[in-house]
Amino acid sequence: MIRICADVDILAARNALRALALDIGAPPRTVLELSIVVSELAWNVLKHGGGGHMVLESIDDLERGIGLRIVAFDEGPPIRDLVSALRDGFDDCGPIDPSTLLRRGGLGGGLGAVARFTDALSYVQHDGHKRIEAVRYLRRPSSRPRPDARKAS
Amino acid sequence: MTLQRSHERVPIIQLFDQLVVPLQGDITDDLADALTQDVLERIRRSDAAGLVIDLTGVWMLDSHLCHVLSNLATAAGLMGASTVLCGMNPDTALTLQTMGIDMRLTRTALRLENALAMQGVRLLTEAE
Repeated sequence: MIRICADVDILAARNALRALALDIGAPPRTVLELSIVVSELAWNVLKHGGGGHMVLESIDDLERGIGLRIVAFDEGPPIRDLVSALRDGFDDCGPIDPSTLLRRGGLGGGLGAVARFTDALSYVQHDGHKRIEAVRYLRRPSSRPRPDARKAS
Repeated sequence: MTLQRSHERVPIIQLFDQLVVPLQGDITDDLADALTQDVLERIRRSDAAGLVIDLTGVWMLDSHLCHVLSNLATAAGLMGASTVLCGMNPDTALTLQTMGIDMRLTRTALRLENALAMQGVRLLTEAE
């Protein structure tokens, strides 16, 4: 568990991630992408949650193989609209007005980046606690829908 | 903590009428604040016409750092100095693309020489 209370903690989380990712044999590009995931989630914990903690662990899924799980916890206000927050240039209330961009301390691209760099993303809020979990497998599952899945929809 | 880290400053190199800032390693919030302050102060003192930010030593560009850089470029622009980013490595370029960070408003160049050329610095050979 890594406490996220200041920006130096984000560096610590990133370094811990790098060590863990290299340990499971992740290629450099994956290490870079996951460092960004950790960074974005950690900044969210710090900026919106007022601090919290993160858990990084390697996983070995029977179906999908080796991967990494990145979980961020904080007690900040809940994400109002997750779908909106996932879009670039949007926050959880909708599109970000370009004229306020310089003041708000972020580009609104963080959570969208997290979603694209990982294979599974889950968000749970309960009793003032917020938990965002992102999982990335070394062998990424195909993002293309299977032919039978397309037929069903 | 502050004392221990106060020596960590990003160098700002004056080259002709340009300020070159080679970024390196992890940029903390304090360092980013100090950098922005220092660069803007130097622009005012030196009448620099432009700013070249070299990202060769940056291994990871997250949305926070992008935001710091775009703020710096915008503020420098208000003071009349144009900014060019250079030295981005392929992985960083690709990840920025996937992250959906729009850098179209920022001028970029491959290497430092290209960036300086973009800013109007010309190499005069003896024949000229």
